Amino acid sequence: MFAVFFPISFIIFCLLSLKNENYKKKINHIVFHIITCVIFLILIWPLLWENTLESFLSYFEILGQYFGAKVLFLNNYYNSTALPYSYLPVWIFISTPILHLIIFFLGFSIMSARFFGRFINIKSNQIYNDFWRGTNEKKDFFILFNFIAIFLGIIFLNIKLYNSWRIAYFLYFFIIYIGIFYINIILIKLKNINLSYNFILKFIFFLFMLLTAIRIIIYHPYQSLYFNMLTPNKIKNSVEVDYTGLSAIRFLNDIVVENPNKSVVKIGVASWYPLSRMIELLDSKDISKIEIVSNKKNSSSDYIYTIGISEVDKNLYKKYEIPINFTKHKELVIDGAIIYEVYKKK
Amino acid sequence: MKLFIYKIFTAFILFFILYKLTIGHTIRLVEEKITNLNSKENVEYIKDKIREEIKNGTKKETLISSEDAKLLNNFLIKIQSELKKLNNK
Repeated sequence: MFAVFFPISFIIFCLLSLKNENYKKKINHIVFHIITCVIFLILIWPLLWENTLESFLSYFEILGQYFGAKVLFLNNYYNSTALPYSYLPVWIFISTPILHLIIFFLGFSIMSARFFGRFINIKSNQIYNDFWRGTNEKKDFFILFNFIAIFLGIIFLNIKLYNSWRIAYFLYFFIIYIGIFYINIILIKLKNINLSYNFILKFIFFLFMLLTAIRIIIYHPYQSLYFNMLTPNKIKNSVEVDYTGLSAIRFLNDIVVENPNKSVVKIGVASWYPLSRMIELLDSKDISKIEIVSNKKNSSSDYIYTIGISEVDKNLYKKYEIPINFTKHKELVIDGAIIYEVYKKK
Repeated sequence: MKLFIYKIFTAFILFFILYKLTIGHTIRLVEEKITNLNSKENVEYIKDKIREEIKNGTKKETLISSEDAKLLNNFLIKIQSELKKLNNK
């Protein structure tokens, strides 16, 4: 839906900046934009290579039916279509580096204040455009408008979100643009002020960048579940982490090393995750050593692997309950976030 | 005309946000509760609860009070006699 919104808003912006002298040229630009947009959409999307229109429409139907599971958010399970309004803002706040958040909020405040100023001063007849004064300002306004519209649209129009905010990751582009807008303003202002202030500010930026880099190294190879320094451990463990199940390969390798003499190790999974997919990543000689048992037969396994992903409300439905004959064997914790837990038969 | 369109557009957006934050939010909560009521998890939860209650009940020495026992006994006798009458006809 938002992939369609973006080109449409681009056309609206072109129409808003239409003036008598460049009318024909602008219309040609818009027509060219629409044609190239459709051509490239078909070219980079193999689904549309056959029965283009039919496939395009059926895609929206599939999207509507896709993912009917529950989503863990702040220790409660919600339907993916009825998440609290705070879902996206909270996820953005906890998983974006602090430097990016600061420069984004500052840039956003400046951009919004400028837009508001222009908006309340609109007159019936004026030489300038109503919302911008030059091409750069027009681009900034285009980004701000799209960011606000898409952000509010995702929150209020029951758009399906799950596995953190990965469906809305494209919003990061806007966050970075607005952040860079602020840095640009600062750098222009810095030219005119004292050299020592200039150095201090650049040093602060460098320090924050270094901190972000260090945290990325700490999370490696699980950067997909990055949390910033302000996020308490309690929150990290009350949301979905490692939704890709990347930790499973580490777990399987550990199991192989721990049981060198066993011909077969039975493993149960107490999460909504197809662990069998990861077996193929093991060394060929170890593949036959691992046997994944079905969820119903978890009590007969040697180990049970669990990550915080569940398609049902674990508080109500005991589908993924750890059998009483199992005790916690080990867990992988990174920066206070529990990536996975392993239970072993007593 | 231009100013009028801007004003209408702004008023619509503000009204939409206000609606979503108030009435829309309440509707969403009610919808969520209704969906949860029919959900598989809830059915499983109720099943588990019944099982648990039956287990706890069987552990008790007396399941029902003497008054209830009398009442149930009379009720069963009554049903039995009515069924007998029906069979004899």
